[in-house]
Amino acid sequence: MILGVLLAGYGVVSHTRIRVWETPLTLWQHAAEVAPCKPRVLLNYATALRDDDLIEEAAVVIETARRCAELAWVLEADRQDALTRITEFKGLNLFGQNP
Amino acid sequence: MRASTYWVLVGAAAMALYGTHVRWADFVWEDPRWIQAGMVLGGRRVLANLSWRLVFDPVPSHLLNVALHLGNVVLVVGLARRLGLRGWAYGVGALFLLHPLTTQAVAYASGRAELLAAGGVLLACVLAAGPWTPLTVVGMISASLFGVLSKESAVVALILVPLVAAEVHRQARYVWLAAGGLVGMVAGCVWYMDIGYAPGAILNWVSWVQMQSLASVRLLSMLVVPMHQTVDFDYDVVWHIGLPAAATIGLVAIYALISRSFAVGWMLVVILPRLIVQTPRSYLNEHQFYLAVVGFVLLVGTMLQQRAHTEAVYGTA
Repeated sequence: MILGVLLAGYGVVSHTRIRVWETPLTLWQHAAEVAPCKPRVLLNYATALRDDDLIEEAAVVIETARRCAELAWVLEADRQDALTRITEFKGLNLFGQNP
Repeated sequence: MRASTYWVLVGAAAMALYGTHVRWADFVWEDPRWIQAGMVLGGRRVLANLSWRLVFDPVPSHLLNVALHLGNVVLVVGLARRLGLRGWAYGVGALFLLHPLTTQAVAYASGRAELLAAGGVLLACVLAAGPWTPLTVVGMISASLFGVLSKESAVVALILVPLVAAEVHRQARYVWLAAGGLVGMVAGCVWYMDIGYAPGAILNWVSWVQMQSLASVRLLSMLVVPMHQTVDFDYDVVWHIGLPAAATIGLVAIYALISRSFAVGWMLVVILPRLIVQTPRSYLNEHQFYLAVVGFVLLVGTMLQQRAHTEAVYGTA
C-alpha cells in the first residue's frame, strides 16, 4: 500500500518534471518561476526567448535580471557576469536600446 | 508477480515516462559544450567524452540515457537482493526508476556521464556483495575504473564498495578497507580541488561547506517530498541558513555512525566529495545527486521489509 502510493506519487511528479526538459525555453522558463530573481537563470531565460525570436519578452526579462543583479546577496562574480552578459545583449542591438 | 512480468512493466513505465521526451526533446543547457568536449579526445571523462563521438544526436542521446537508467535499475535490484531485501528488491528498483530526483540525470542528455559513472559504481557494489574471488575483485576494480573514467564522482566507489562488503559479509576487514577508502578519497579530492571554472568566484572552504550543505539538505529533503525541482536553485537568497544546514549534515553523519545505517551512510558518502571539491557558483545539483537516490530507495525498502516482518510476527493493530 505505502509502496503503491509512493510509486504513483513519484511517477506523476516525474512525468511533470520531464516535460520541463524538452527545450531550452521550457527549461529556463520553469527555472525562472522557481528562482524569479537569480540573474544567471534570468539571463539564460532571456537567451532562450531571444533564440525563439521573442525579443520583447527577452527585453523585459533582461531588465529584471539587471535589477536583480544589484541586490545585496548576489555574489560579486555573479553580478559581474550578469552585467557583462547584459552589456553583450545590448551590444548586439537586439532590443533596439542602443543607437 | 513473476520476474519477467516485472521487467516488462518496468520497461513500459520507462517508455511511458520518457517516450515523448526521447522523440521530441532538444539539447539544452550545457549539452552543446559537452558534445564539443567529446569531439576532442582526452580530458578526465575519457569514456563519457568518447561516447559523445559515437552518439551525438538528440534522439539517440536521450534513448541512450533511458537505456542506461534501466541498466542502473537492474543493478539496484541486484544490489538490494544481495543486501537481503529479497521480494522488496523489486519495489526498490521501481522506486529508483520513478523517483523525481533521477529525472534530471536521465532527461538532461549530458547526464550521460553521471549515469555511466553510477553504473560502474553500482556494478562494483553488486560484485562486492557477493563472494570475493580474484575474478570478482578484478571485476570490482574494472567497474570502478569504468565509473571514474566516465565521471570523477565515481571516486565514491572507494568507500561504497567495501561498505557494501562490510554490510553483507559482516567482517571487520571490510570496515578497515572502507576507512582506507575514505582517506584515499579525501586525499584525492583535496589534490583535485583546482577544478573551478571561475577562479574569481572561489569561496573559502568554510563558506563552500555551508552552501553545499544547504544544497545537500535541500536535496535530501526532496528525496521524500520532491517539490520545487529546478535546474538552478537560488541558494544565495538563503545563504544565512548555511551554518544550520552544515550542522544538520553533521548530525545526520553522527546518526549514521551510531545507528550503523548503511543507507544513510551511502547518501552521505555520495555527498562527501562535493563538500571538498569546489565547483564555483554551481552548488550540488539534482543530476549529481543521482547515486544518492540509491541510498534513499534502499532505506525505504529496508523500512518496508521491517514493517512487513513486524506485522507478520505480531499481527496488525
